[in-house]
Amino acid sequence: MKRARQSAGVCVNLERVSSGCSGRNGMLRAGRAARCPAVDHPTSAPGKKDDVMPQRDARIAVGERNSGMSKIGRTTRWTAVGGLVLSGLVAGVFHNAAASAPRVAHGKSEQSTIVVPSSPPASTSSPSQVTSGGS
Amino acid sequence: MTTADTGQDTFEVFGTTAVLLVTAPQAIGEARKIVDQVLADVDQAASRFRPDSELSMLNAAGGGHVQVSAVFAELIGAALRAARLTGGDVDPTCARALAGLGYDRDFAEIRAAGDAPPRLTGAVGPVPGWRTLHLDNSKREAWLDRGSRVDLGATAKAWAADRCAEELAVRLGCGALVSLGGDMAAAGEPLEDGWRVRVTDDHAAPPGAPGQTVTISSGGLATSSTTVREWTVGGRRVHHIIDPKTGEPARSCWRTVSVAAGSCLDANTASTAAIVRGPAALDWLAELGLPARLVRPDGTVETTAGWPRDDGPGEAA
Repeated sequence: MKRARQSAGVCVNLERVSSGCSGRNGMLRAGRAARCPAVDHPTSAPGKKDDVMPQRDARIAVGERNSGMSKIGRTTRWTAVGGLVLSGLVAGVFHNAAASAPRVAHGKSEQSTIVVPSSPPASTSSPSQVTSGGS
Repeated sequence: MTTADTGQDTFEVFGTTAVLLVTAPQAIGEARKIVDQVLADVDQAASRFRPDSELSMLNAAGGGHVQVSAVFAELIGAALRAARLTGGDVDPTCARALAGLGYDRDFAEIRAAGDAPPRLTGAVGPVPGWRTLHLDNSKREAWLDRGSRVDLGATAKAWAADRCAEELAVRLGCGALVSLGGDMAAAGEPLEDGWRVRVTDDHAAPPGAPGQTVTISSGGLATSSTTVREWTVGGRRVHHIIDPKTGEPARSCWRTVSVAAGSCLDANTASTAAIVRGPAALDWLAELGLPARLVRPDGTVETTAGWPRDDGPGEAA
């Protein structure tokens, strides 16, 4: 019974806070209240009814929350911008690497493997015309 | 088209021997002019021994950006591609390692000098790596990270052979085979039975040298060997194929590797990488489907991906 009462008290408090806020905040509060876990409130003394959060504290809490949300938003935006810049740099580096790779336009030099001959050498008993050897 | 219908010219370039074969004998003079122009452009762009070359200016820029010609941009692109396709086993930043071994001048001078002392002392260590060489094709600019120096010797000659053969085929409308120090490219309509090539350790070896004669009709064929372009420095024999991981001449289980590919550049990239990779080269070449002939120091031969059986006499050890 004690657990149920305390849990309900926290939820009631939240409902009251939401009543002093904008509609959006109110929805958030309502949602949070609906998910309110049934745990002991650390500030609640046994048998003591929870106090209602003062209007001023509620406004401060909402302001802090809005400020936090704003900070998160800013951080997200800067992270996104940083990611774009970084990916641009990476693309640039790879582009330069590709540009500095040999692009030889003559003969077989563009081949990416050693090219095999169209046919292997054939044996002959006729006299040679030219000699292949070390030089 | 038979052998009798070919024109041939042989001359010295880049400290080695060049051979032109064209299926239009009357055009051999014009062919030589075309090839001379291509080779002059490559020399101006990528010579390590010319102070006025673009490569020398890039190496001297101390990390600054330099404007590059279209030819030099393509040569750098080819070197970077070779490095990428071989996991860095063919690396264009071996210049300091080669200079440290005394290969800091034209090779003919090294041969003449005998025991040439290196200008650098102590081990150079791993090369800076191909990722320290940068090319921006859109701005036609290249630059190096500080401390890195470039040598395009592993790819420039093969690239030049490809370019020469293609120019000849297009401008003369004939079949052409261009060999630059044994790295060869074929383009255009070939001879009826293909171009006949003797594969051996040294491109300057006489026709009867141990090896095998094969035919190719297109693409490229290149041979890398640790038995040629070797010299003595500090009392030890060294060669020019650098293992980028150590900055030292590659200690390979192969003395000579020949590879056929779709271009001379690709063939040379694979043959050089095979020397550096050692035993792992067999599986690597087979997986790529590249016909190759690999010769061990004792003369035994391995082949991959359809390279023809070697029915001739065994290789001299």
